[in-house]
Amino acid sequence: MELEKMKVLWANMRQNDVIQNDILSKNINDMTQLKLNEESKNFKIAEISGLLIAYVMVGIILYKINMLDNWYLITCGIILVLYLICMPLFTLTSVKRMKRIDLAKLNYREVLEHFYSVKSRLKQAEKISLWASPFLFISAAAIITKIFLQIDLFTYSFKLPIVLLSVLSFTGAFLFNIWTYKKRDTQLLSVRQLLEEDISKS
Amino acid sequence: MNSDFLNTIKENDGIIHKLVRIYTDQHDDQQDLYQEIIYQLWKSYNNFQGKSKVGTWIYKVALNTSLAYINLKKKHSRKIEIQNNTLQIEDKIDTLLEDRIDDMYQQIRKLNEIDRAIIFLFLEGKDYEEIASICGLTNSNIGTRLNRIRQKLKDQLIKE
Repeated sequence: MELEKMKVLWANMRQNDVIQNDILSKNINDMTQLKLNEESKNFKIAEISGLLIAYVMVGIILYKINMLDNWYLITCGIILVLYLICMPLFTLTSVKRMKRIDLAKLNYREVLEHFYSVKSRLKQAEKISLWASPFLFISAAAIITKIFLQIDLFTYSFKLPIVLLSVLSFTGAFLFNIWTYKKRDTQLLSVRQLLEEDISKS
Repeated sequence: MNSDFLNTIKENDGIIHKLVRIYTDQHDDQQDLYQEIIYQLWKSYNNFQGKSKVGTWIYKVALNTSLAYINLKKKHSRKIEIQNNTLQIEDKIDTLLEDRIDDMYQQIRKLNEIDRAIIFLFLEGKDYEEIASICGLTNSNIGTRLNRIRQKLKDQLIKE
């Protein structure tokens, strides 16, 4: 077909499609919900990976618990195990809550309330981790050296390489914390923008 | 949902339907692309706010979305069930006309992505300047490309 004939045919094409507002609104809601679910999935993958690593550590500590042969190592072990069990679960349930945001059923106020409640829980977890991290780091270092090297860090006469290694590990752990917080913030921002786009047009 | 947005979409829905058929031939893909265009329009609606003509805004967003859809289609595979009555143009058109329209779309779909965008805007009655502005090309480039498209269509006819 030649271009000019196409143009005539194009002009004669009837547009009988009737699009209804409620169908369009529902479709847009579905798409936003889908994108929200995708964002939540990203969160979930990161948190599940963290949970798996934490639980492997818990398994190792519990398996070798008899090597923690004095009260301070046992205390460190118990606190570390409790932290490693509870904290990933806490963040994972928060992320699951985000997935429960139902854009079709909730009004804009409820959507925002829901989102900010999840965000506040995640921020709370971040704060706890940040404040607990020096103690957790020391506990983890003491337990790992005891389990794998049979060295009691609390009674060990420190030599320069050990101190340097500790400083490096501590710095590494700190930087990793900062990186995960930033990553989570970016993801939260992206979810917030998605929800705000949705409700600003509601 | 903002009723202004819905009315804008309803008024210009034909543009989106035509464009969707230019870039996809399968019904499922057409539904997916249609939804994606609506979603992108909806996302950019706040920023648009009358800064340009409604038509120009819709053409730009819809074309960019279609081009991105074609390029990323293999990487992305997501589907949402939508009501059938959002895409029901063909049902009410008589068979003969429908066949000719199908032929036309088939011929257009044989062109490359940019040529499809240009021919679509040309068929929509846009002048060179508007086509150039929407596609980000120069007026003379549009003229040259349209001549090539005309030739390609003739060649297709001869082959058939």
